[in-house]
Amino acid sequence: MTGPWAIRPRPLDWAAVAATVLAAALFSWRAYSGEAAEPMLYIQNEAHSWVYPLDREGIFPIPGPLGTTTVVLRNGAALVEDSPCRDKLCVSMGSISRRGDWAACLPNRVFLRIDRRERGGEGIDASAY
Amino acid sequence: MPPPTENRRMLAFYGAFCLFLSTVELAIPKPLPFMRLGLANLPILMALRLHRPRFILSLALLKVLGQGLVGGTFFSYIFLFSAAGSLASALVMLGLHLLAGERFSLLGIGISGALASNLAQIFLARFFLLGRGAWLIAPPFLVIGGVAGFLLGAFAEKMWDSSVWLKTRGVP
Repeated sequence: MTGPWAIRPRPLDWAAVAATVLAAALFSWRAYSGEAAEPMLYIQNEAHSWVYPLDREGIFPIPGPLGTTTVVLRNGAALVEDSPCRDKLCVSMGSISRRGDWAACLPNRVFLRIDRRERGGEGIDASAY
Repeated sequence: MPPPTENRRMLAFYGAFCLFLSTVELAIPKPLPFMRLGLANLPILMALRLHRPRFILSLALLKVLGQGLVGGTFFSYIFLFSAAGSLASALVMLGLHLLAGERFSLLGIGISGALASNLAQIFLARFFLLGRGAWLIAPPFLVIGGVAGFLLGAFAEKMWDSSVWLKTRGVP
């Protein structure tokens, strides 16, 4: 490669690239491996977690430090309809419906993910299920 | 190596550069909530070959404080994530530069810094914020961070090659 933007990598630069690829692969395996099971919607805020089957429908107000984040579950997909954060990235992320999908409102500390059903509940608030 | 007073002047200069780049980064739209390009790491990459470890670590602290102030996250938990990522990144970049020297270009150091920053934040998220959900955000976070680290490192390396100003700063 020549020209003003030519880059000449040194031997250990490739090791840094390999470490990043390896880390991404390991985390992908950690996140997506396991038996195929009924996917569930997990909603977390600062203090609680809620879990819903994807075939349920509903509008869920989730409290956070800035106010209420509104999560909608409809037709097997969930989305953040509204949140009191500044940038609204969580709203613009759109709907999530497949295992591994996620959306988050960091300022209001609300996190949604679609994952397989967990054994033992990982602190899930059973009354919310 | 620059004399002590020159060092302080340069620390202020690089710190201001970090602050400026943090502000620029705030103006760039982000498709994902956790995404960060890490533009403010550029002054640290530039300073690695010119200054002592104490200077680099002081600069990393200034960067953390500056990012907290311009981003309005200084008194929120996001500041802890930012601080952990920035300090892990600075320590790894500094360590690799000191240990591996010429076997690493700024390209590899930039990628390694991004990896260290992202891993620190993923593990913090796993144990203090998102639980198992942290594993889901990790793959896109690492890939985007790696690409950003590559581009930043490549830019720093080219700047190092072509900047007359840097060459007059006392290249070892």
